[in-house]
Amino acid sequence: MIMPTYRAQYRRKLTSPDQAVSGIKSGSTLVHGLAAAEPPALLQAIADRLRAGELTNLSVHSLLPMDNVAKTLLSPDLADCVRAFSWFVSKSSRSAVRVGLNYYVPNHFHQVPRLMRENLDIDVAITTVSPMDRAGFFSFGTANDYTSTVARCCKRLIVEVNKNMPRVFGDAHLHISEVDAVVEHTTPLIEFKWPGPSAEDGAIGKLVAELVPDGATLQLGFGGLPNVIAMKLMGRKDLGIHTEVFGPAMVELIRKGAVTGRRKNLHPMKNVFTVAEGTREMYRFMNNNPSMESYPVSYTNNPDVIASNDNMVSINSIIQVDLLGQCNAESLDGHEYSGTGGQLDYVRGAYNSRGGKSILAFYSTARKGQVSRVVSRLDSGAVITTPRMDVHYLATEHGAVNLKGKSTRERALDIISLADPRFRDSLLRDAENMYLL
Amino acid sequence: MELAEKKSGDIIILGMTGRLDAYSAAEVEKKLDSIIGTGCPKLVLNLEGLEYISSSGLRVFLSQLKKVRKQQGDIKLACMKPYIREVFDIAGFTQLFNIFENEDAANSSFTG
Repeated sequence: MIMPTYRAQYRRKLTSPDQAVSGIKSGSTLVHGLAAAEPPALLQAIADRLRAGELTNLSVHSLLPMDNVAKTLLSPDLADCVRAFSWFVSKSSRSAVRVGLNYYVPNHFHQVPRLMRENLDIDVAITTVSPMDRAGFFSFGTANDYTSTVARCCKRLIVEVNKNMPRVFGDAHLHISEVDAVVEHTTPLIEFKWPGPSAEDGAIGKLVAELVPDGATLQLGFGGLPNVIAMKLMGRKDLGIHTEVFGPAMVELIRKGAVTGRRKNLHPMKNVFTVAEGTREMYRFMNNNPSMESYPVSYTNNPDVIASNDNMVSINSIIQVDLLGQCNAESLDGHEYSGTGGQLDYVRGAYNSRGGKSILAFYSTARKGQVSRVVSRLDSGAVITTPRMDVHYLATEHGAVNLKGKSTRERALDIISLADPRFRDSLLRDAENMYLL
Repeated sequence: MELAEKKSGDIIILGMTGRLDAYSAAEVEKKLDSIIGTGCPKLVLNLEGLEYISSSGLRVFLSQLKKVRKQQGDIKLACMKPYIREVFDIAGFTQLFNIFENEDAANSSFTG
């Protein structure tokens, strides 16, 4: 039973999407909820105003924009009245970033709340939340990240209540008194599905899984490979979760009993995350589940917080590594392909954890085996996501190596051992020419 | 950026040569504004000499397209170099504009 005072506030603030966005002025800066928290009804209402010519010069800040934003504010026909910014590039913004119609904002994910608070004058924030509880609180559900910070530093906060948004715990709640307008719109949340494992996945998964001891606390990056690695951990005991992205493979680890969280130093028995990207089934698992605790990304991805758990193991993927050990996880063919995200946050945090490991896993080749991902020098224009000083373990289907404390010669040889055998001779020659051997 | 204007019946044909970038976008916008301001809603942009287009150029094309379509007219694009076509493809602009191999085809499309 919702307390009458909060019910009254809710009713007073409840409005239609069109009405809720009618006060947005031309030249405003807008930040929207991330991924599954993109609010489709509000986005559509704003796009309608842009298309009608009522609104122009709108600055839109996204991180990993998905379909609901792509179909509305990032639609090509609105490129003349929207200034779009991507804090992590996705399929939905990659093309526009490539031709300068969308600007990438370099960042470490854990700094995004501060960067937005201090550097943007945010007029409007919109996001999807779970239904209000009896104490007047909504939950940020799948997207705490920077959204919870932006919700409190914007001039106008509009929430879209969706019954499918899971109610989660932790520092994940927003009170009706903090909200300016409420719209109700229940629709299926965006789902994230990955293709089934390949032959290389199995080999990498096995090698990486061997580096994960019982009792480890896990962070798994976004994408197919980290999920496959998780599937190889089903036999482990007392794993814990402290992660940036909570995904479907983690649900399996919990259900199979591999994850208990009992040996975590920080938030024992709890699955800590800042973003959730998965399936409808996963969102149902999360809903009203007291083990699911979300926190702002400034906390979950803070390297010092990450290091607070002993035996922290972070697993992320990269695109390329050169013979010096410099890793590119975000650029392809000279263009921004994704973003730094939280990779370096976890690489540093995990290494600083007692007994911790950071693992960067990748396939040794790309383009059906025609291109080596182990390269003498990074491609022209490539970005270094993880500097060589920070790289701990690297793993491909051909092995796993620990680069810490090794000379440039030892590193080069270790890195070459990860390459597909067809490319190793030429890499060795290049290493000699670079006076690494 | 060189702009060459000519007329074919009630159609204005504007030839563009050079780079349409942040520096020249304002000049092109001004020119298109002046043409559209005369009430001529039929415009062909001959892009044979266009070597480069930036995001500023794309935005000018899009905003002018919206203006002219409000007057029940259109902007047709002709003679795009492959590189310019690729930029339009990547930006998703090929779905917004009518694009023709040559100027005649663009002109004819107004009467056809």
